[in-house]
Amino acid sequence: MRVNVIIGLAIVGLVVAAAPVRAHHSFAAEYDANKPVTITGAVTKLEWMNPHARFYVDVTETDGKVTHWNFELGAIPVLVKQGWRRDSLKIGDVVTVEGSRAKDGSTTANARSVKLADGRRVFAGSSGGDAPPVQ
Amino acid sequence: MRQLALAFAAVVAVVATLTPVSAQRGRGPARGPAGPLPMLWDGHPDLTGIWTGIGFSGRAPEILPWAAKIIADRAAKQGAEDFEARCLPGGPPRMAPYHTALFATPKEVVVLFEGNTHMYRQLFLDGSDHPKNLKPTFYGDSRAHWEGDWLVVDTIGFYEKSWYDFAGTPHTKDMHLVEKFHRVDYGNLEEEVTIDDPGVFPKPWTQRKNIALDPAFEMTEYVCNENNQDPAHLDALLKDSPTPAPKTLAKSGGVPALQPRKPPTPPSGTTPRTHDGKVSFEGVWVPTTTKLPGEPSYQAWAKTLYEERKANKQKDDPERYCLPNGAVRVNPLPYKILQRPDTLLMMWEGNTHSYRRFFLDGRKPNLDIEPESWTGQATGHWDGDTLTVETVGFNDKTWLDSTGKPHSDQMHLTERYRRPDLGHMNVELTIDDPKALTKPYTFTRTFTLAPGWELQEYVCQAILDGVYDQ
Repeated sequence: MRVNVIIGLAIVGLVVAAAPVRAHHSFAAEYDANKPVTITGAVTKLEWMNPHARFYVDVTETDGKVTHWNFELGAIPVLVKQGWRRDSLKIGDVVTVEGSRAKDGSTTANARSVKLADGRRVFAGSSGGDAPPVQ
Repeated sequence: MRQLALAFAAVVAVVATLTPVSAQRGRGPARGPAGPLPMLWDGHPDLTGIWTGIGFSGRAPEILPWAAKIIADRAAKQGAEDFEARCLPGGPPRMAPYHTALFATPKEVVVLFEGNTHMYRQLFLDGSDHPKNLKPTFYGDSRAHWEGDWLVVDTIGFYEKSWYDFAGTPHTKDMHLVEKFHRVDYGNLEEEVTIDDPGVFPKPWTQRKNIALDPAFEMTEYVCNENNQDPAHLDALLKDSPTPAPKTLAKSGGVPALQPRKPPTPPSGTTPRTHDGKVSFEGVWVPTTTKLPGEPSYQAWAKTLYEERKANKQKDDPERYCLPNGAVRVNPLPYKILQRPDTLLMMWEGNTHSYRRFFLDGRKPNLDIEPESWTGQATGHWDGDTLTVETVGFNDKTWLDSTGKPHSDQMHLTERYRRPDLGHMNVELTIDDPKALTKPYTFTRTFTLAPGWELQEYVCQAILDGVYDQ
């Protein structure tokens, strides 16, 4: 069942990714499209709440230090339309996230895509590049 | 040559197909499903539906220099001051993110927003004029009338500081909006808006668009302030800007408790009926009494949680932080019901200034799309003159009352609405929640009709953030 959902996500993601999604804040105010990040780690928490769903990933550096990352997804109405559900990501899942880092330098980022443990890459409902949006 | 002519004819045919008459008026050829135009029981077009994309955020052809400078300043800050990022209303004519619906009755059409604030906008269609001495509001005061098949909505009384578009175009308190809506057929809506604000634009200007019916299953309960981490990041970037950081009540116990207004004496008279013979629950209602049969019979964990909340003196009351009261708890400010054969809409003034819908069209709750929410998913049916409403799909975050009575995410709420006469509405509530209660908890609540009253705009987040004080 879960496999089907993920396949659906990937297909829808390809279609939707072309059109940035309207969000409740300016992408450019908070995130820097010129600071791309690619982070691999285990999911420690998922917040299925608005205005954005969020998930948290722990990354263990080579020196053993653990960094906590906070990833912003799209709003739940947007994610649901793309096939996401509350249980699409689970605690312990090892994922690779591509996104844009917060301008304030914190380990916060806007997730553009999430590559799941099985290698499939799904769109994350990012609002990247929507300022100003075409309405 | 003949091939060329055929190719040309084919292109013309394709273009003609893509550009129906209805699309020529608006900006783009949004094409929803065809089908007959639904009509309301008063003979006017029925605008009801999910019309995501209502609203505009275009650039005026001409703008006065002071206003252009403000736009440039706001653009330089990348829109970090935008009210929308702080869970405040965008206000018309700005397009709300996510889904938008219209709910139409003969005397009023309501715009229901999924986000950015899960609020509503009332378009009065009862022949009334704008009240004198309007208090400025985010959504303004809207009076509508029909011109042929077009619903024409006139709106004034705007709160000056709101961001009515993404670019941050300023407006004055004298802004005057005229929005027009035309449902062409089942799946297509034309919208036109004219903005007249002589303090900002040298002359009025107009935007047009075509909107397709949205195949969204329904709108979810989007609670913007539940986990909004954006303001902290945005404020950090604005720290050198002259814009004052929001004064926050968040650390001092939240917004002031809602104070009741004394309702007028309810009128006497017989129970009103709808055009199709059902009991009409329409009206502005004030909750007056709630008769509790003692404390609920709680499971141990729920009893402990309840005792903690009481010992804390309700310090974490969600209502004080502008979070939804849910489907059971009422606040003292008025409620309003509008009724269609397929749906009842209940709106409230206080707390989240939001709404519930009771679907009577036979649908089932969609817990796949929305497994849990603050006010749940409600479906109803008639038992004679009683409207029975069943609500499921709750989270466990709301309080059943102001003392902090808890419930679980397994709560099943049954409400039985009765209107014994013109001036009263009685609701019997039964909470069935085996995870939190050892037995179901039933009580009754009475509302009285407040003739002449209307819901006033209440934006809790603006009070919590001290927006009005700046």
